[in-house]
Amino acid sequence: MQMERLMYHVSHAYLQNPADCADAVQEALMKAWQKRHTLRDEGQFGPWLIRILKNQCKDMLKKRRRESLFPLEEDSALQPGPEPLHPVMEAVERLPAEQRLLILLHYKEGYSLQEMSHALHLPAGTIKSRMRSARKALSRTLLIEWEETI
Amino acid sequence: MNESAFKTLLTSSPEHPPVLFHQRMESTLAEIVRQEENEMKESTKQALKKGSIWGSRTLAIALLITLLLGSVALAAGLGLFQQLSQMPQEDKRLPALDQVSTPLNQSAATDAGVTVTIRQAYYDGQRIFVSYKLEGERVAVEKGEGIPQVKEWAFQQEGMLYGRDYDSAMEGDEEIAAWLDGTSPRWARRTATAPHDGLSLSDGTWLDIISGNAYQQEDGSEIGWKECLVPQDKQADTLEVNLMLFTGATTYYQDEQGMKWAYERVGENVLIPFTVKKDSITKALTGQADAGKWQAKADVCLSPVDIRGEIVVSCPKEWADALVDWKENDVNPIADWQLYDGDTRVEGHNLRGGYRKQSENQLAYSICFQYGSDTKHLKLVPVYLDGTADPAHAIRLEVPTITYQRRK
Repeated sequence: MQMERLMYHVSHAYLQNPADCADAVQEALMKAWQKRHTLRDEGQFGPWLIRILKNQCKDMLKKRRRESLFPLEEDSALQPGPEPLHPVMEAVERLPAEQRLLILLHYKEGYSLQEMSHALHLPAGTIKSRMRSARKALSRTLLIEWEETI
Repeated sequence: MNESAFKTLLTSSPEHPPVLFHQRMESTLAEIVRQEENEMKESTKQALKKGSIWGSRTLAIALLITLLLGSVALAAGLGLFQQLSQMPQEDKRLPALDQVSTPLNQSAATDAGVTVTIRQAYYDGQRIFVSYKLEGERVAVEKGEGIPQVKEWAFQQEGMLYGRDYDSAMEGDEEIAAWLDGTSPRWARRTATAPHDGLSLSDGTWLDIISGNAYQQEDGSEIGWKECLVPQDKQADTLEVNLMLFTGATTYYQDEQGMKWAYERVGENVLIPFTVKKDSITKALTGQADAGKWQAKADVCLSPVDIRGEIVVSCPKEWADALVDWKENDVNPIADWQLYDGDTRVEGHNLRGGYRKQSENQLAYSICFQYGSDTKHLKLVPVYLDGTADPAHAIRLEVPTITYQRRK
């Protein structure tokens, strides 16, 4: 998968909003540019950039939570509701960000365990246990028979 | 549900980097490049003052920029629509399609091992575009002596010799011509697997093909794309669509007397189902113009790929006589349309230039321009048969206004 799609999936797994994803990728790229001297091995460019993006998304989530404690005054009744999702997508969207990202990368984009481990700079064991938890959570609502290749 | 069904549902969901995301990524990288250029200028000044060299740092930065830009270039430029756009004389809309289409990678195979993979799909609300790849032995030629068994000969001609008087312009012709030399009764059978021209909806509705192309690759695979029209009463936000792969065998027989051929389908059609979701960016635009002698009303659709639709012109009966019925008269009817953005003509001609007689006094013109920009100043300028454009009577395209009536 190309870097742009990976960056989109990572940001969307955390933020679930296209406009926020665009903000996050902009900030992450600018930060990567400012911190370029910290990248020692160009071969690790992808995982390094993804780490910066994940941190950016987490910062934005924290900010969002703080703001939700002090919401701006607006008439939420006038806002259009989100488009209804397919039950499968809805179940995936309800997973925690880290699990959701792995499910999308593996089942939607065809990432192998090794590819996810490299791209996200995560140990294979961590990926396996997160995948197990994600499948378990999905099975509660979707009754899927898993083959468990990872 | 099994794991494979779950995977299919996830793959068909339209979650792909939206245009906004792509644009932001590109603009940020462009800003980084600009900053780097400024820094380099400054470094050069300092270096000249100090007499030092800044080569190694610049090299490292250049590498980083290449990596970053390379990532975007890859993301933006290596889809199948993009690859197809590099073929000579290909449709200019393909690079834009590559940007907005959803990657799918839905595959199916025939019993003979021919695999078709739908690589990308895009649905603007009226049309579905797909890119696909066909792999495996798509064409097989068998040969034999004597008279072959066929259900019914579809064609026969005395004195005709395959290769000299006839060829099908299909793969394998040379081999067949060399075998069917007319010296003794012989037959050859070409079995070919190909995707159907159009697409179909899950309820069986056929979607006619408007345009498309296919190319054979050096490795023997075939890549291609299709643009198919969804009938108005079937247009919905989400559609379940099928690409159909069929196999057919043509048997040729040649003897001293002449040539015959027969055609029959082989096996079942293979369906490759996929789901498309309407792109919400697409806008409907309308506009009108009145030149006294004629009145026009345009209904068009502006998508990130193109702007297309129909203009219905109420006009003197003689216009239809001249354009459609080829009667000689002295009228100078509208023959085509040009697209303008403000006062600037948009480059490129009308890709679907054509007209049909809707009634005695009405002509309907088809238009399609490669134009993916959003603008509030689009105009369609009529061009008369003598070649003169008439900007004074252009149709200004606008988002239609909806008026609500208060209930009594």
